[in-house]
Amino acid sequence: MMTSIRKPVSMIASGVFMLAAAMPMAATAGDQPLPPRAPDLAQADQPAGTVFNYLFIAGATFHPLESATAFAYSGAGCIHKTGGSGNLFAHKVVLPEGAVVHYLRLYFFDTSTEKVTAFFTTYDAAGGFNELTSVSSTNDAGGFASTLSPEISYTVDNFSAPINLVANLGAQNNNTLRFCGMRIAYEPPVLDTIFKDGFDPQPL
Amino acid sequence: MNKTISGIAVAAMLFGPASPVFASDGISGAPASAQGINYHHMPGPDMAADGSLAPNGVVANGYLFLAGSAFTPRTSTQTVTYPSSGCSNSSAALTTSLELPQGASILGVRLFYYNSGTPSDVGLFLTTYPGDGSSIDQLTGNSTLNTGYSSEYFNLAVPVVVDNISRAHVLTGVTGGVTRLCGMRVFYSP
Repeated sequence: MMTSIRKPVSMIASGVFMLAAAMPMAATAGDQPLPPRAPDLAQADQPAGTVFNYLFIAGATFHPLESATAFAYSGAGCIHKTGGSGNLFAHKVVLPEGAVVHYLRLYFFDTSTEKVTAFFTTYDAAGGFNELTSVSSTNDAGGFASTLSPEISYTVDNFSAPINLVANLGAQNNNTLRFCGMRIAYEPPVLDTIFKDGFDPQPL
Repeated sequence: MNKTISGIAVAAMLFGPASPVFASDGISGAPASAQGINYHHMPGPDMAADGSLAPNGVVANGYLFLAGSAFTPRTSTQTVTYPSSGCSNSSAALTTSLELPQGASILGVRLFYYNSGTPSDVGLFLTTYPGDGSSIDQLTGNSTLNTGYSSEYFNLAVPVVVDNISRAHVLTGVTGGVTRLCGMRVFYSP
């Protein structure tokens, strides 16, 4: 089965455009801290009682799917497009077998009219893929922000379905739109070693 | 004190010219580098398998070893070359995500690299990013040897506790000149 939302719906932001002053770009690691963003109020992926584990991947560690994609390092673990063709960046996801993925959180800097969209995608390595959830950036006056995907319940199946996180950086070719990372909230698998062979004694 | 792996040297001398050793890392037919005979381990507390040399009270027996060729460029303008053997050279920074269990304590990172005598070095960074535009270089280091394949350990004065809910952890390598990043091995307490 294939569910495709390769091209994100564009132009949610049609109101106020606040272009930030040009931000300094760090050439190497050793970035200078910038003012923090406003807190994100959508915290469904951080419920009280800590039921989730997390996998937090910085945007700078994603790679383009095509060599024709031009991009640069924005600093603070973020990247942005500078031109070329192809808008997609990916990072593999390695989670324990049986873990249940619930949320995908996207971290970004967005003062542009475009947006970056994050996908949680599985493949069958035979031409099929399934984008199980996605979430887009919003034009944010403060620049740095995060958004949360709708909840899913996907059980990791490392036998049959490799997983990628995919970011579509759209048509914006400057640092007014930066991809800074994604965070997966998941339930770890229950490893029942006491009763894994059943409750009754087994003949040796 | 450097430790030379003499077994590899002996094998290389015995079989070098007559029976070339072939790499099996995706570039079939390319001979493995003979410079492997100059492999130096600088000692460090990460070399004790039982963690006995780790800071007091810490049981440290966790390792995550990532090859240099698994690091990716973070710009499209930089050049990247692959000499062989899991090592990469690039004109700008190469990065990879560091994925460790929640609550693990990172004690240090061993840098594996190749430098055949140039004055350049290989830089190492362990950086955390909360996604809000800030960052912290938790550990930085530069290679000091130029005698072929080498490794050096860089210790964290204060262990970094993995916090996957609050920040992404990233390893970055910077190769100067023709030096090569061959890998990083994170030493941590699970």
